[in-house]
Amino acid sequence: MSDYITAVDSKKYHVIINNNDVKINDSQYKYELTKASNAVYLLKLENKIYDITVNHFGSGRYGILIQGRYFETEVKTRLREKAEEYLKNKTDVLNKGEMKAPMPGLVVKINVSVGDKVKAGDILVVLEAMKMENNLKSVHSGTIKKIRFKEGENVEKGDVIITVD
Amino acid sequence: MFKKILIANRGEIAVRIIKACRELEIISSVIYTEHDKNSYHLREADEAYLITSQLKISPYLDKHEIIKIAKHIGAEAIHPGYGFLSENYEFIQLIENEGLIFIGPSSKSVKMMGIKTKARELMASKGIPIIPGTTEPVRNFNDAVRAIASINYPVMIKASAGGGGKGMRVVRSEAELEENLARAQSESEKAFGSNEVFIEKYIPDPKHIEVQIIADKHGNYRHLYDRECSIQRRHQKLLEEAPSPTIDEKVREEITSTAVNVAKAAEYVNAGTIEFLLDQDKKFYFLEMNTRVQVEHPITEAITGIDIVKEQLNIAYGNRISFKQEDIKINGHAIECRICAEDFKNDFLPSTGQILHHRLPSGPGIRVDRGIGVLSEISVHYDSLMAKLISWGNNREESIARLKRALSEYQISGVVSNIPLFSKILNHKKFTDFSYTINTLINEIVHNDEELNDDGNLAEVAALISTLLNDKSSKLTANKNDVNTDNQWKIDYE
Repeated sequence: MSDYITAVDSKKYHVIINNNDVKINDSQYKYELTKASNAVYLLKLENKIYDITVNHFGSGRYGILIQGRYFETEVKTRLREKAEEYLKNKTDVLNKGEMKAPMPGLVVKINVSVGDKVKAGDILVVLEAMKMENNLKSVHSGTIKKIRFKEGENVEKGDVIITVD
Repeated sequence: MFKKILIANRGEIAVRIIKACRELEIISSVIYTEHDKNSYHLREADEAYLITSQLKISPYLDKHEIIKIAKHIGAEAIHPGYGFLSENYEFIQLIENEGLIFIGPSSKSVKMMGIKTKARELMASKGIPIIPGTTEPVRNFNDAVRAIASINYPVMIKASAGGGGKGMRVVRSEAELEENLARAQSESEKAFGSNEVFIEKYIPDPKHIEVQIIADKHGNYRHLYDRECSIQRRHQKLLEEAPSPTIDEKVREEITSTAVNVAKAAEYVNAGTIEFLLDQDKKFYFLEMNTRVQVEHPITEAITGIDIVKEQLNIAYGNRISFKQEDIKINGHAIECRICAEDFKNDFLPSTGQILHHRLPSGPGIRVDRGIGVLSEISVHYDSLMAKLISWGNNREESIARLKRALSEYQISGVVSNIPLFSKILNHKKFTDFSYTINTLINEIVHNDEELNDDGNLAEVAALISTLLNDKSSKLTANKNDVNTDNQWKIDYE
């Protein structure tokens, strides 16, 4: 038996897998899982077969496309989920963050200076890529600690643009 | 007919042109860059040529190199697609000078329509309704104040050489004028290499209606009715439909005949689109002419039965338009969704990666024009349009129902696509009663909390599949398409 907490677009589900049965919150299903390719799986739940397309993002994170709907998911064992909850409450360790460039591009605008207080969701940087300007938002609340690029400079994918403490 | 042409483009439009060539038995050749080795258009073309540029620009923009290849391989004509060099009159001039044929209008028409102030001046002189404002460039603050005196605030400053929302600014009072004028001029300079701007009356919450026209070299002009493209994000079209659900037969008749007059005024040849803004009193104004094939041309093909790209090739060769105006009637309703590599839940951030899986929807009334296949790369070098999903139905309701059904069948893996966005748009009240305008915030639709009925259930399925995949103990049954290990016909070497 395995016990998981799985987040789907920030909503959490409790999932227990037990041989051919799977329980999600209070509903229990018989399931069969067939791999069609690395990106496509067939999941039979009772009498319904779902044809599912999967993006694997690594470390328990997936992008799931089912019938034209797309969900981002993150799977954690219940134990890890509990440990993280505990840490989050204890310290601000999760409040720190690095904003990385999600793709190569040109830094068009930086909206903050070192020392500014920011909230999660604030637009910190405008990055131009694929002929479009893209807003990069802070995922963390905190204070701007370091800004490593200037407006007009190019960044590579994964470059840390801003550190939030 | 031509024996061989060169397609100076990539992606879905290159593939679309290849299909027309194949039906007309023309050899289709394409160019591709180092970044594009796995691109889908190479797989469909008869011939593919690697192009490199000495200039510090995308090779798809290297006019001389493209023409050199065309001559070298014996292509008689060049199809530019849309974007890239399609509306570059210098490119067309070079092609004309080299004795090749440009599949599109003359360099003269393109130049005339490319400078917005010149186009406005021409249209005004022919009695075509233009948005009140200047037909001459506005150079400074005093020019601007004088221009605005006769039209009143709010006004819109636009780039003369512009398009795509760049260099465009709304000004609501004189206090905002100086700064906005300066910013529009500098944006325009940066984007188009010219700081020339003009001023128009701002039209609040308009709709975007356009008319497809076709003209041949023998003085024949036809229209293929209208399209509505009001669902936009940052002035980029997302979803288009034909015919427009907003206008009635009277406006339709006026707008289509006006479009034909615009084409005549521009001495236009080949396929083109006249864009109009429709205000809240259903009055329409000439906005601009797109002197090329449009992304959204398939919805017009769906309701008229005319193959626009084949007409383009025929006309460029010197043939007459293949149909009479009175033979063209609107048949049913069509809608197109632009399937892009964009994560709309994450502020429309472009998504890059390699396509791992691509399953096309099918069934009655469904067409997909695509520029991607398994292994092709979605990179930062090109725009994020991967494919276009087009549905046709006997009426708008059937077209919407088919589109929703097809969206639920469409599968792409390797990047995040905007497929789910369209279900939200199609289910939104402002879409079903077509009260949306070009200013309807797509965010309003994205963050519409009216949960689609089956979303809850599917979220559960998403949780289950993710957990099962993550669970190391889950046993996957072997796929029948995998190498079959139970093969009874194994050769026994012993």
